Amino acid sequence: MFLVRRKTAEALFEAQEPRLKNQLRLDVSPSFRAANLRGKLDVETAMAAIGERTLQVMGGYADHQVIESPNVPFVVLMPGPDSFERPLERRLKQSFGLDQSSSSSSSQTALQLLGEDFAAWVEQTPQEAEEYSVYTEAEASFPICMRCEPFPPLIREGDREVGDIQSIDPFKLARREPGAMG
Amino acid sequence: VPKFTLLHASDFHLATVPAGMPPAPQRGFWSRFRRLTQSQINKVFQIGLLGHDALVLEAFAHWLYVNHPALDAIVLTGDLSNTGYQRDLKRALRFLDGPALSTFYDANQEATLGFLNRKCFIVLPGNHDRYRPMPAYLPGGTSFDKLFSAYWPGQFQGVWAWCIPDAARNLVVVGADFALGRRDLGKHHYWLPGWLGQRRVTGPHNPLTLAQLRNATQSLRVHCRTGDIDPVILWAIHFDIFAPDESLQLLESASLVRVAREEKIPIILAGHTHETKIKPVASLASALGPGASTPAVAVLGCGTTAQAGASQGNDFQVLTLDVPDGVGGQLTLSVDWYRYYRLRRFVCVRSECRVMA
Repeated sequence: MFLVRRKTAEALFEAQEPRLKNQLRLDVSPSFRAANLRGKLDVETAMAAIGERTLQVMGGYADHQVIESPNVPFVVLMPGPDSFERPLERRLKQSFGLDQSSSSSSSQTALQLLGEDFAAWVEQTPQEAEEYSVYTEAEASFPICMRCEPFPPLIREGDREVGDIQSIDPFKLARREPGAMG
Repeated sequence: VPKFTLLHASDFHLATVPAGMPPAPQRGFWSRFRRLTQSQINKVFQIGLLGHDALVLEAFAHWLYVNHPALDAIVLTGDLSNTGYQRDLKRALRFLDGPALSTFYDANQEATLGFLNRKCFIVLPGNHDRYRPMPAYLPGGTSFDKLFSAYWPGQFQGVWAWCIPDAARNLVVVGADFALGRRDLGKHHYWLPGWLGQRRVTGPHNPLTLAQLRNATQSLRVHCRTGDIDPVILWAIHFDIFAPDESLQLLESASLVRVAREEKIPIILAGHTHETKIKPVASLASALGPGASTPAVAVLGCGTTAQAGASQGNDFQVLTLDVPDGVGGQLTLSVDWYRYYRLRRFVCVRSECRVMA
């Protein structure tokens, strides 16, 4: 699980546009949610939620490249230790509700901390990063890349179980396990 | 054999600010009153009031951008917006028809389905779309009808239908809005109020919807006939029939199922509970009372497609209907369930194929 440091979560919160503070919650993600959504930022939850949101933004960024160039094998997320790729940086700012102007030093600081956390996660847990198609070449720490994959075909004829409607048991798709990221 | 492919998504909970709660009012006596009461309600129902996840929404738009040529229609069964407030409804409308400047992004770099033809949508309201801008989210809001009139001309507690034509046999989807009336507070469950999550099929505050649904079904069966072959008719509603959670019930569900059985409706599409499921109502025949024969009605429930922090996951489903082009054939329903997976995109997690009686 990609967890950011406490100081990263706090820096992102500080760098949020004033109108979005405590509105665009940093402690909510697909599998994490603060207990009190009306209260102040739940930093513990935010550390995990920000990690998930970062991976979400990166996945969306990589998938969008597939539309523009269907055969692109990968995208660069971090060319070096200092920063994310510029279009990705814009997406991260938008997703976390940060000031979009490049002159905002608090936004830049927060993103720099996020970059450090992300690079450390990839370096320390390469197998976990690989589950999200995130990798670095050979022994190098940079650039950090994400694999691009084409979308599978829509309907998989023949892959379905066939039966009578009366024979089906009522069923629900299973609930998502907290923190399972899937 | 005519084949129809429908995408069914639901419960987007689009809000002005993603991944957040509806903002409390800022000024004035009534604002203070509202803030006080709403904050109490929010404490209990805060999960249900959490807005959409912009990145999941983007993944949904992306999936549609890639796959829409294979679809005949997109059915959205309510709760497009997080509240019935104008600002949230406008955000939801912008998602449906905001101009796409580049692929599926609008001018604000937010996801939009504006690249699609408006005619491919089948849209109906849910309970959140009908919350009034009042303390405690009382029911009966009608702003949805004004803003979404191009998509939902059915009005408050009304019925509307869409025909998907085919040379051999037509498919008709009839949508119904079982909203609570303005003075209908539902059925409380212990100390929990009923109006937040419940809706009603029929009653003194909602006397016409079920009759309109039956009348529309009967007249469309005649009007949309191809030669002497009746169309296949599905129903779409927001609420889950026989929901086990008391606070989310569609009150008088049995009346609806009885009419569905009489009108030979094979499938009812629903949302609301945020659980993706298939529920053959046959197994619940006891709820219809003694002597009720087994109805061949399947309720297909779609979970929340885009709400943030959804513990049940973010889902939608793709339905393929192989429709017999003559009398006496069997309808074959295939369902592919898609879930937002690995924090990246919607993927098919389960597929089934069922022959309907």
